[in-house]
Amino acid sequence: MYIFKKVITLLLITTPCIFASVPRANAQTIAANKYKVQGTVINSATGKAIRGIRLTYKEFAAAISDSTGHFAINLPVKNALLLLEGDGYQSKEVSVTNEGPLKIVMHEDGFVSATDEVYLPQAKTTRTVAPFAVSGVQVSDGWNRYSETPDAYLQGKVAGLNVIRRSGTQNVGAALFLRGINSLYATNQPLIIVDGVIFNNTNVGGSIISNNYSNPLSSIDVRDIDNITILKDASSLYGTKGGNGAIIVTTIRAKELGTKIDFAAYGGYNAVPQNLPVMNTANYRTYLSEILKTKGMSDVDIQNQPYMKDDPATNPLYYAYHNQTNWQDLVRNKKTYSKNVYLKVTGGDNIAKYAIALGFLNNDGLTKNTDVSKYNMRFNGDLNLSRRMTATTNLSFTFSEQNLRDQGNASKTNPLFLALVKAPFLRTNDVSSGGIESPILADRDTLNISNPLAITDLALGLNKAYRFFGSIGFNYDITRQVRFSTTIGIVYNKTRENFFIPRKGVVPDTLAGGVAFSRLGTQVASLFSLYNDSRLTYAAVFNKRHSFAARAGVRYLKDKTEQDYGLGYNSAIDELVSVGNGVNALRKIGGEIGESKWFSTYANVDYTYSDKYFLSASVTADASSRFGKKTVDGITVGDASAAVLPSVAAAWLISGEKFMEGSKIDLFKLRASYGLSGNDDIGNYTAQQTYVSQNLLGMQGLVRAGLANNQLQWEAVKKINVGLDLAVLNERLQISLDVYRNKTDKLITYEPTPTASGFDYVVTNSGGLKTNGYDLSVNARIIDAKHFNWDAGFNLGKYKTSVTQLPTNRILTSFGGATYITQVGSGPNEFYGHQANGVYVSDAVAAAEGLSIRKADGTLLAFKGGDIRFSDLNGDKVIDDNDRKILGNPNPDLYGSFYNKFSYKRFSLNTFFTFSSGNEIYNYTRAQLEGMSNAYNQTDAVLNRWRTNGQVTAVPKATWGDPMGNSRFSSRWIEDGSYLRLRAVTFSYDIPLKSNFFKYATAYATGNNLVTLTKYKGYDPEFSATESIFGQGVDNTLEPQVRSVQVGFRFGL
Amino acid sequence: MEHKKKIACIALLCTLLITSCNKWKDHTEVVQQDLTQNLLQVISSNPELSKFREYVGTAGLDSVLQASKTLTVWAPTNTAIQAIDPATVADKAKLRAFILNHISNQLYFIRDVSTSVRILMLSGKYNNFSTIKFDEASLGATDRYVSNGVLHTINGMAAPLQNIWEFINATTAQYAQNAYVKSLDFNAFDPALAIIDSISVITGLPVYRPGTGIVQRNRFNDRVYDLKNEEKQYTYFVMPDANFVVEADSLKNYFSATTTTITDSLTRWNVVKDLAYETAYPTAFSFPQPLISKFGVSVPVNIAFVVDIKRMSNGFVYIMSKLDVPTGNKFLPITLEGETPTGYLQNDKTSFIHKRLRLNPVTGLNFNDIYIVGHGVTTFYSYYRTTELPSIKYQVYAKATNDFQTAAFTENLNAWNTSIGALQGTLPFVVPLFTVAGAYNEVNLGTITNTKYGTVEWRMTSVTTGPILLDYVRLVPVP
Repeated sequence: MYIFKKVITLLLITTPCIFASVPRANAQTIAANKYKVQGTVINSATGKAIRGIRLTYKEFAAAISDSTGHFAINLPVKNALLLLEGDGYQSKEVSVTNEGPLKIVMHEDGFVSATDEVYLPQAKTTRTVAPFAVSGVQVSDGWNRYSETPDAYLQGKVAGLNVIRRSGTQNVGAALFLRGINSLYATNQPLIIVDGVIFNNTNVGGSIISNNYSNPLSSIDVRDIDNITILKDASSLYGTKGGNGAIIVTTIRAKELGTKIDFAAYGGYNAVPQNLPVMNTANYRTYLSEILKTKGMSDVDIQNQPYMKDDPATNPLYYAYHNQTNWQDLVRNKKTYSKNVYLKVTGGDNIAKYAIALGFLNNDGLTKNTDVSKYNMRFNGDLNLSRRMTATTNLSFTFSEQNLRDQGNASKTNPLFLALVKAPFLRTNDVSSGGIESPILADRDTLNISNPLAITDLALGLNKAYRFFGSIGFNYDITRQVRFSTTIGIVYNKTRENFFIPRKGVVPDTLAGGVAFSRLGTQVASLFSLYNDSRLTYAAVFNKRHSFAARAGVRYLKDKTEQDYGLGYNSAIDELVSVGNGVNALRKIGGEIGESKWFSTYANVDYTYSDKYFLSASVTADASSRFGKKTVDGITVGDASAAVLPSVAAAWLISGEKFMEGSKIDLFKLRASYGLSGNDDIGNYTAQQTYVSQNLLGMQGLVRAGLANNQLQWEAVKKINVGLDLAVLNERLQISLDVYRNKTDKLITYEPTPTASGFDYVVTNSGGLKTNGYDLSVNARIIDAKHFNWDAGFNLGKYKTSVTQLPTNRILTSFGGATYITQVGSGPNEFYGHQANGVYVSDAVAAAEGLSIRKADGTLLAFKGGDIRFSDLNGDKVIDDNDRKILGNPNPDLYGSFYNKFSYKRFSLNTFFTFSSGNEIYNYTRAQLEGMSNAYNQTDAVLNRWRTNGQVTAVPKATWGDPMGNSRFSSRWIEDGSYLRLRAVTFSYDIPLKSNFFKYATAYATGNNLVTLTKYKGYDPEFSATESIFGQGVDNTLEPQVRSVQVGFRFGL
Repeated sequence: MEHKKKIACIALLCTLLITSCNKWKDHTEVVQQDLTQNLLQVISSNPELSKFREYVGTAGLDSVLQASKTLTVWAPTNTAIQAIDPATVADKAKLRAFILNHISNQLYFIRDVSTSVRILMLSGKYNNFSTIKFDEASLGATDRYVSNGVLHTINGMAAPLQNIWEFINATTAQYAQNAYVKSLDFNAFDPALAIIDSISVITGLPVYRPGTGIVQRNRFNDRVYDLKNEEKQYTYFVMPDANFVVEADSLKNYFSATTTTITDSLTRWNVVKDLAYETAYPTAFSFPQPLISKFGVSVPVNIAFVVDIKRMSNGFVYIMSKLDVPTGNKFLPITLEGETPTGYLQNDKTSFIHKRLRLNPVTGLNFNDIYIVGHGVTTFYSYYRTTELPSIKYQVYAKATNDFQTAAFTENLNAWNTSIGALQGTLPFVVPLFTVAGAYNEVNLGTITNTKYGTVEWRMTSVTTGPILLDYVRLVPVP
């Protein structure tokens, strides 16, 4: 599509990957350098002079420090930002305002610097000069945290990015919330850019395996990543896709010409989580006999149940019902291991450079018979095609195969849930009346609970996914100042899933047209995405002080998704597991096709004066197939609407000012930005009039799918950010603070429509949200000695999101038994339920209070002793929906991380803690395990259940079916979800080598999740069951994260 | 230095680890000490119940009180249990039954009993439990809930009692009445208890092993009340032998049968059938006067003749010195509804038979009748069968109103005793025209005497091929 003549620019060889934003050297100007600056460069730890440090000022001046660390450089301007680089040292930028002599302290490589490099949408630069709230993550510890997906890896790495792991299942990754919540119904996930190409990070078509998430980011190995830059405010360049900020991932490239081979191999062990304290057989049987009585069973009926008859001689089912089975242990893999090998080769010559990576990973899952295998490869190339033209290629292919089982709200097929609620007196296998066990697994029991082992051993759940991600970029220098560049990217992703739930051992499901005994399913979901970004760049320096760069370009993205599924039921025998074996009459075939096109034109100007004042202004105009044709905002081009989104950012590097001369402050910068961006996740076809097929009594026809809204538009996000960056004491203390406000207008909501319309709602842009918050990041080198370093730091994020506008008074949303309320003035997803205040001690106390519930027939039913004492908020003495209140919300008050890093000679120890504080969790699992309304096994807490008048306890009475709603969604199940977790502790040792063959060798030992401190009563306080904000904080029995230990070694050739 | 820090860190982590485990411990810890103990443990730890505890051990029932079920125990205190019959203590089986009569499955708190509930004990007997009493014993400390049930202390005992049926069987020598009741035993076949040898290939029905599935039943239990049943409560009257003979003999005339043996059996049956009631009357003042038996017979019980009231596990037995049921009370009027005949002379005339819903203009109420016109059969009839009809004279009333034709007509009521094959009498019935005053009243047709006890067909017969019309026939016995 784009073909250009090739010219080689020599300078580009050194920075070929993404062209520099600054103009290239101008030979004539060097002679005009009249400001001489001199000084020495010393090592921070030893205080000794460093030799061979390269000092450069843009393209105008360069020098190298001598053996005494001394340097002298002639600068064309008085105020300048010197870049210092040297092998084994962390690059650094220093503001120069006088001739010196300067004393510049440099730290070893890997030191977290305030002047780290970051990748902005427009160019690669450093944090020193970026006027935005950006954070760069140098993925240097990827080698010892290889089992993470990139999204989960980011947890705690960046202030303001709240990373919530979806579950402990491998590969599922994490939900990302960058600076709170910007949308109710559209996505809140930041935009992800990989090597300059928009990365579609949606789980296309969902999963037919309950609560599974096919995480596209799992296709990228953490070790393939060189840098991750998080743009918190500067995302207006991504237009209507940048409303939630952007995460820019840059993968590995060859940095030097020599061939470098890195190889690593690891093995790991995964521990099992602590069991939840459910009742043993004796306590359970007592509980069961009590609750069966409240079901209305007569004493004789109860005593005739096989589990009540204790004489093996007269009870043929004695051995089937008199056991002590720990189901929680049985549904897990007994011993789980992980293994991993990885190879990276980089190198090349001055024409072509390459980076090749190959990886294989296998990790056993927590649930029995689950595991994941992943193969990934990557080829990144940098080519100098001619003097003026360069090209980059990024090709990657990943294949993964994962065995899974249902999780979450699947009470008949979630093995973890079944293991908790299954009666402990039952047995895994069939047993004869004489007590001889059969190898055949037992069927579902008389209490109508599936055999958990039927799910783990006989059911199937397979997810096979592959993803090809390739991009090619060309840069062509038209003149010295003007460059044309274009990047074309293609993504092809295919996920195939199969599942089978056997007939034997599993409680049947009810369908509209029959009973589902065995269940079979298959699904193929695919994504094809084509992306192009083409731009013209002009960059120049005027008068040595005015750096100017302008860009204008277009982006085009076409996404095409397809999902096809088939569900079958009742195959003749459990050996027939593929969907074609289902009964014809019950088979269900369906699918979905989605297509969207996005076209964006953008322009950007960056201006720097005297390396102290920075200004950046951008504007985009976006058109999308998703927008209605008559949007209120934006402009109309032809018959389409386009969003126009400008932004401006400015920064002042105060430490570069003359009056800061001689201070201990290394870097002091103030930043401010204001910008508009948008969220186009409004549905591919929502704005249009669509029809769906409808079957009415065997007659096929088309009906309108909803009301078209030709005014439907992007959600508009306004972002204001003010921040400062500070580094003092030779960068030994660095602080970065940002205060922000995000305001979303034109929020997508479901607005109720008049009954006469025939529809319940229409999707409109009629809501509003705002988020205020701050991010703080502090890094410190506490001890800086010759052999011993101690680094410590923390990241904090705090935000508060509130709803500013809604088309209705309030919106109630349910998920997993929880109810969320959205109303103006409060948070977008607050838990909304009854306040429980303990248990009525006696009938008399309950009668004195006089509260009742209203039954379906309108009569009142009074609370009695042993019932939960709910607050009657409206004072009408009836506990109903009008007595609900806000009980908390799943959003943390404060979240972040802290770390300590010790290095002593060749040893290093790194501890990394993450935490979340003040978020509430609806413990659905505990509500099931303490609800006492059915035959589910319960936790030991119900031993304290109320029995008769006068008993003071926190646990109500056990009643079948729970007529009084004691286990309803209430504050009983809302728990503090705060936690502090030792996310990773890594110990590494650089093995001293005398060999010429090996360049280095390092041994690692990493422990993940070794310690979690929480008051939360569940397997794990961290999970995210859905992508929606309505569903966060509901613990519906997902696989928890487990402790794991990995040891490995890595060496270089 | 770094070592110290590391050690400090590790120590801190360990402390936090330990504290983090407590979240479940605090939550699931059993707050009341009682709830960590089972019934046997709390009974053992109560010095007041040491004797009861000892007997539980002797009877080998420790495991019952430790079982992971829910039980309620009413434990007699040491003082109360002193009164135990030494014979019970000596016999392990009896002691076991005694102890089990103080234990029930399920939880029964004072809160659950508003008036009095009847609870099945592990002994198989039922005891009454109210807010103040367990059986006859007053309650001591109540509602002590433990891990596997609840314990009440009682200031008395609830020794297992005989049920009424056991009493009857035990006193056949003493009372001729009970001997007679016992003589109504018969053997019956219960397929549920029989062993199936095979399934017949010809009939498809099971072939039972000979000699299996035979159970002993009793006609009294089947037809009056099952006095073996512990679930319900009954009252049973016993009269002295002389009284019983007199009572039976007074009925002889009315149960004239082919042999005197049959007559005797019939008269006795008709005495005893009115002596059991499905209600517990604990005192002579508690029952209504007169008592109405299951068969509608009014039985006047003179409380002056109550000799003894025996408490049984399923009710009460009244020993009477005299119980005299007036003979007239034994025989009740019989109404035969015209529209529900047992059958017809012949079965091919359905199209002429009409069962009508008519309005009685005098009372304004509806009534049903039978209306057979145009059948074309000479002396066609619809008949109404009465079984076990005593040999007694009946005053016969009938009601029918001619509302379909102006011509008056007559029909005949014949009484045909099928047991002896003899006509007992014929009564003509001139059906009044609806316009006549009193047309909707019943008409006294006269009397018919049934000469022999047995089955009688009452045939409403057409005169030649005339119509048949009948609302009802009422037979009033005239002893």
